[in-house]
This record gives sequence, structure tokens and C-alpha cells, in this order.
Amino acid sequence: MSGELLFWLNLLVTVGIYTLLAVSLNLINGHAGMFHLGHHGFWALGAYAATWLTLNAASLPGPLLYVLSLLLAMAVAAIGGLTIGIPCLRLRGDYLAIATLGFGEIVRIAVQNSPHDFLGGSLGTKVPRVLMEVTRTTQVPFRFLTLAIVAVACAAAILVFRNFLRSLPGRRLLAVAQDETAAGLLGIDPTRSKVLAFVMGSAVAGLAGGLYAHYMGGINPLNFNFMEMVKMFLVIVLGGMGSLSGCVIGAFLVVATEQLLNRAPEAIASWWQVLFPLILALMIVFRPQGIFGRKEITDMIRAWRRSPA
Amino acid sequence: MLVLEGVDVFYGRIQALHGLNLHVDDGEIVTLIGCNGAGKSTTLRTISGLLRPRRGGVTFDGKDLAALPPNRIVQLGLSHVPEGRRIFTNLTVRENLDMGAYLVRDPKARRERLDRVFALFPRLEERMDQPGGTLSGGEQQMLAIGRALMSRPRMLLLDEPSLGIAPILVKEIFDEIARINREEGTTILLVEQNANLALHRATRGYVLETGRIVLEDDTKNLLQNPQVKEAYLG
Ligand SMILES: Nc1ncnc2c1ncn2[C@@H]1O[C@H](COP(=O)(O)OP(=O)(O)OP(=O)(O)O)[C@@H](O)[C@H]1O
Ligand SMILES: [Mg+2]
Repeated sequence: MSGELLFWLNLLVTVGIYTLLAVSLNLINGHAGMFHLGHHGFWALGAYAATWLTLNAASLPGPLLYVLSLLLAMAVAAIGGLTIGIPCLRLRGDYLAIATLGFGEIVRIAVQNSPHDFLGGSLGTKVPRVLMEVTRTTQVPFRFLTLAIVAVACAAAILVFRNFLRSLPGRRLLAVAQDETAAGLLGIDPTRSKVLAFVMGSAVAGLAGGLYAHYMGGINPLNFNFMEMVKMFLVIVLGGMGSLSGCVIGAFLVVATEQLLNRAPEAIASWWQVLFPLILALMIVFRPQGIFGRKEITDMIRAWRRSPA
Repeated sequence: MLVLEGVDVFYGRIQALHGLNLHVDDGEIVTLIGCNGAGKSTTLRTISGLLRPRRGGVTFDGKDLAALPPNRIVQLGLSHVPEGRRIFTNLTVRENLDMGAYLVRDPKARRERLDRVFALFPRLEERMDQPGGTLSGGEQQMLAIGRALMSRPRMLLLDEPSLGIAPILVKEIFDEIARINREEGTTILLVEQNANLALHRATRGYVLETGRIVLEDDTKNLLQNPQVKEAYLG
């Protein structure tokens, strides 16, 4: 019974973390129209920044350390986004994809090749529990608590992004995404708009990293490999490039498929590594706008109410 | 006000403009006419910073434009309405106009500009909340011009505003262009294939052939010129 509950709680927490990764990736790839393939790098930066603070400020009260480490995770990922965003965002299309992909891989490889006394190097590191003590008997409340925190983080991120996209700077970003030349001719600085989106997106990926590190209680560079980028990409392609609420559903589909497959016998379980890239390719060929396209769930409910039954 | 001197522009190895000399003075409407591929759009793109001249100079009020990116050139009061309109189809009419007012920080001034654009193009006000992509071709052209006017430019570069628009609307748009020049004191450089219409509205004209200026005169004289009559007005 408890095993089943733990499974589903874990699934939902993971859905939440992938939702954060997907909405932030969607801001960059879907709304801002940039071909960014290094989101796993920002995720890793956040996870390692949070872990570093947790290991090095152990004297602080637990909940305070938890919050501070999440803030640091966002800040470090945002600075990372700014640093690689300014030179890279002048590149277009495939070149941008290659440069950002390079960044994502470099973060992982750099950690992998670090000495073991620096954040565990290739062995990975434990993340001390600061939110509450986690034992076999407290697993359920710990997962519930994490789920609540992750849900709040997802709601906050979606709300912030939605309001941003409706604001003037957000409209400017959509204008740049649609026609950079026309936007430039109106005095809009396209690079600035894109860097802003990139920094916001990387900060939220960093937050996902911090939450993930605390939830897992240990991280390893291999957690942040390119397959994770493929999964995030699949989430936004399923959910719809440019749809925030589609991300939640896309994240659920991808995470549930992976975790349910993981319960199956080994011979079947590892097939998700083939399945995901395959679905991704099929989606891009047959339904590139995703299941939801650019629409939000709220738009669809409104349309459904208006249409005669 | 605007001076181009000996401008050479290349697309890769292909030379599109050959030693172009052109000037537009304060308050004028100047037209640049020529056939397909003559280099009219290239000239405007060079002025607004989308292309860089390989040789020669472009100055606006004595300021060298050669090193500035397009978004900085707009700040100097030079606004380019590109060929094919290029409005933001997924933003509303109102939001498209807001994009044009990017450089106007003061909300009161923005409101005034918006009212002014609506006075010039009342159809835009009626369609304020409609996505730009749902407007007709003529309305999209009005939106593109209105959007460029939001920053209150001192000079407007217009690239074929008549393209793909019903004749009756073309006349309306040209009337508004003349009115913008008269009432706002906006200097205009107008690129057109519809030479007849352009020459009747402008004060001076240039004729461009394969990247070279072949004629330059008051429009009165150009309209009488047998060469022009045969090639462009026939
Ligand atoms: N991006 C480009 N790459 C290569 N050559 C180009 C490019 N744009 C234009 N050209 C060439 O430069 C020349 C001038 O083109 P331009 O667009 O300035 O002509 P135009 O006078 O505006 O013609 P139209 O009336 O058809 O708009 C043409 O020969 C064209 O083929
Ligand atoms: Mg042209």
C-alpha cells in the first residue's frame, strides 16, 4: 500500500520538476523561438549550486538553508544564462543549437572530471537533508511536503511567465520571435529581448535543479545527461511549443510513461530510451504544433463552453 | 538631412548598388522609382542599417549611420517601413502599434501618438483588438505605416506601400502619406514601382536602373521626360 503511494508521489514530484523544466524551456524555444538544446546544463548548475550551499552552510537552520539554496540555484543558473546568452544569442538556428548543446554537455563533463572532493566529481554527492529528517517511516510525509513545494513552484512559474508574456516586454519578445528584422526596425533590441527570456528560463531551470537535489538527497553528473534534454524537448513538443499549460500535460505523459515502463521487466524497461526519441521524431514530422499548439487550457475551456453542445 | 555618397553594396559577390549618390532634404517627399531588381529595397535597407555599404557614406543630419545597428538608427528619428509590411500577425493591432512606440517612454506621449495614428487611419481604431494577421492587405499596410509613425520619426522610408493593394485603397494610403508629410512635417523617401502615382505625390524623384541612378530631377520634369514616359509611365 505504502509502496504504491510512494510510487505515485514520486511520479507526481517528478512531473512537477519536469513541468518547471518544460515551461522554462518553452519560454526560450516556444515563445522566443530560439533553438536551445542546453537546458540540462542550467538544471545541473542549479542542482550543484543548491548542493554546494547545503554542504557548506550546515550551521544554518534547515528550512532557511533550503530556501537560500533554492535562491542561489536560481541566481547561479541565471548568471550562467546571461554569460552564455550574450555571445550565443547572436547566433541563429542550428548554430545556436550547437552552441547551447555544447554548453549543456560541458557543465556535465566538467563536474564528471572534477576531483572527488569537489562536489563528488564523477561519483556524485549526497545532499544533506535540511527540510526534514527522511527515514523509511517519514518518506511519505517528506514526499507530500516536497510535492506541495514543487506544486507551488510550478504555479508560481506559470503565473510569472503568463504575466510576463502579456506585458509589454513579453509582447516585444513575441514580436522579436516572429520577425526579428521588423522588430529591430522599430527600435527594439532583439538581443536584449532574447537574453531576458534566456535568463528567466535558465533561472527557473536552476530552481528545478535545486528542488531536485533536495528531493533526491544526492546527485550525480549523469542525472543531467543529454537524454534529459531529449525528454524536456519531448514534453514541450507534446504539450505544444508556446503553450504553458500544455507543459503540465506533456510532463505527465512523459514522466508517467517512463516510470510505468521502469516497473516492467528489465527487457522492456530500457525501451523508453528508444521510445522517446522516436515519439519526438514522429511528433515533429506529423504534428509539429504539439497536441495543444499555442493554445492554453483556459482558452480551450472557454471555446468549449461557447460552442453549442 | 539624409545623404548617400558613392555607396556600393554587395550581396556576397554580387554588387547591387554602384556608387549611389542620393540626398533628401528636410520636409521633402522624394521618390525612388525603378523596375524589379533595380536595387530600390537595397537602398532603403542600407539606409536603415540592415545592410552595410562596402564603400561610401550614409549620413543622417551629419551623423554617420554606417556603424549603427537598425535599432539605434531608429532612435535618431529615421523609420523604415519594409517591403511586404511585416506586421506581427499574432499580436493585436493595438499591440503592433505599442511595439512601434518602444522608444516613447512617457505614457502620455504614447497615448497622443496612438490618437494621432487613429486619426490618420480610423480603420485601425475599429480593429484595435483584432490580431494583425486578420486584417486585409490594405489595412496591414496602414498598420505598418501607423506602427512606424508611433515613434514620431522625422523621416519615413516607405518600401512599395502600394504592393498588392486594391487601387482605391492605394489612393487612400497615398493621400495619408501626403498628409503625414504636410501635417507632421515628416520627410519621406518613397520607393515605388507605381511610378505614375509616386511622381504625382513627390517633389523630387530618382530613377534607379541596375543599381545606378540614371536620372534625378523635379517630378514635374520627370513626368515630361520621354525616357521616363516610355519606361515607367507607358
Ligand atoms: N538577400 C539577397 N541576396 C542576394 N541577392 C539579393 C538579395 N536581395 C536582393 N538581391 C539582388 O539585389 C538586386 C536588387 O534587389 P532589390 O530587392 O533591392 O530590388 P528592388 O528594386 O527592391 O526590386 P522590387 O521592385 O522587385 O522590390 C536584385 O538583383 C536582387 O536579385
Ligand atoms: Mg523591393
